[in-house]
Amino acid sequence: MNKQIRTILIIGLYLLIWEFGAARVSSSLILPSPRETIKTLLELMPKEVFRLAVGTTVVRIIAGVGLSMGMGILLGVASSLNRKLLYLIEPLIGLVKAIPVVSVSILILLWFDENLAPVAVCFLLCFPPIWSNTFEGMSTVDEKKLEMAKVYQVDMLSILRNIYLPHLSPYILSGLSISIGLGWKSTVTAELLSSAPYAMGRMIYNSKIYLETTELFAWTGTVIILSILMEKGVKGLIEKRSKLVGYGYRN
Amino acid sequence: MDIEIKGLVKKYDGETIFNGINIYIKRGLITVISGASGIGKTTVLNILSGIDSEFEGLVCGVDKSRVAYVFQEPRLLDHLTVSENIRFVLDKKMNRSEIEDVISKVLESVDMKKQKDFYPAQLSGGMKQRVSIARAFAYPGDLILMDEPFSGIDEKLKRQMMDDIKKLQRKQGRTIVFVTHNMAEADYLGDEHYIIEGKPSEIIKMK
Repeated sequence: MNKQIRTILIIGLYLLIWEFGAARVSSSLILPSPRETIKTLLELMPKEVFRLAVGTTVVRIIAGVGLSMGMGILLGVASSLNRKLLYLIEPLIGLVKAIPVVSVSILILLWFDENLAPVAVCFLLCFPPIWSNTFEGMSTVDEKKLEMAKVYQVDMLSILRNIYLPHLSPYILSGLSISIGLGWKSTVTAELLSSAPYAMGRMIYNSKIYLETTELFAWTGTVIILSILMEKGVKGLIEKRSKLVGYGYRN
Repeated sequence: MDIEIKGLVKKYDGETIFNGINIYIKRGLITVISGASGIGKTTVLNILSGIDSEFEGLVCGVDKSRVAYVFQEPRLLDHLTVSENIRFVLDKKMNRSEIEDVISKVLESVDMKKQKDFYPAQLSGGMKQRVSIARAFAYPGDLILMDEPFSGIDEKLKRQMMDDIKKLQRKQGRTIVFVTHNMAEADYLGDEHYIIEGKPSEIIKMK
């Protein structure tokens, strides 16, 4: 069976189960149906508050993930070349991975305002997978090709461009794909806790306190869809890159 | 200038591989070094190329900026075409038009001109090794080191590649140090022939 058809059928199945469950509960306060959720979402979408919230949250995620990419790649490369730096960073990575998002968010709120706190939380949680993947990529660069380049006295820029970068890019893209999912979760959670203005997290919080469960589902559904779309975009890049290198064709 | 290795002492993991050997390599000839697997033949090449700098003794007559190396495996970059793989080692050593001219000639010499835009994934093992040989001869240098470049290649293709190497060497007059455990290759290619044997290894001149 075609993969896309299979995906559609599985989603359809889960929507049916949800619809059945909602019908059994018969209370949109507790469990709104898919139809009610989609209707509410369609009503929200033309509103300026929706566009502002989505736009601001997306910008925060891009900023946080972007920062984590920059620092993660830089320190990942540096850690692979310097053992002392590796010994300093590794325990911190372990710590950040273990701390609950809620704890990190509350701590960071003590140091940053409500606008920057979600970006800082996103950065902190997305940094470890980027760092780890970059470090692993650097550790597995083909030593034989580096040796060849050394004998032929190839300059460092050429080595970086033609040996390190092609090898590292699937690792980094893979780290990015993981970070996007984490970025969405952590940013929305931090927005909720910080009551950041014009934020999807704030909208989710408002839905909860006003007992607008259908709106809560609609906002949550929006987060899920946008997160999946971003992740798929990056995964598409990884697959395209892998195919191109595997068959020896280039972008 | 001829190449000399004097009093080479090399230890590895506490074991002495060479205990003061001397090798004399005449300029402009193909010198073959043969011996059993694991005896230290590749070590000699790595010392000549500068890959291995942990040894005692003296190496004279080698300008490390003018050494090319054909490894046992082709070591081509997967995302570059055949001609780009050669260009990778020539960049900044020649001007652009010279580079293109050299690449064209050397690929023709190893019968790989038609495959100049192919990627390594599209080539057989023998073809990849021919590109590696072409890369070495394209590189502006005096010395080419070859470490058992015909491993896994069938006899007919091997013969053709040996002929290509001889032809290119005569044309360019480069010094080649060729390492192999195959005596037939040693006899066919070498103008001079050394054998490494024993533990620690000693070197004996055969030809």
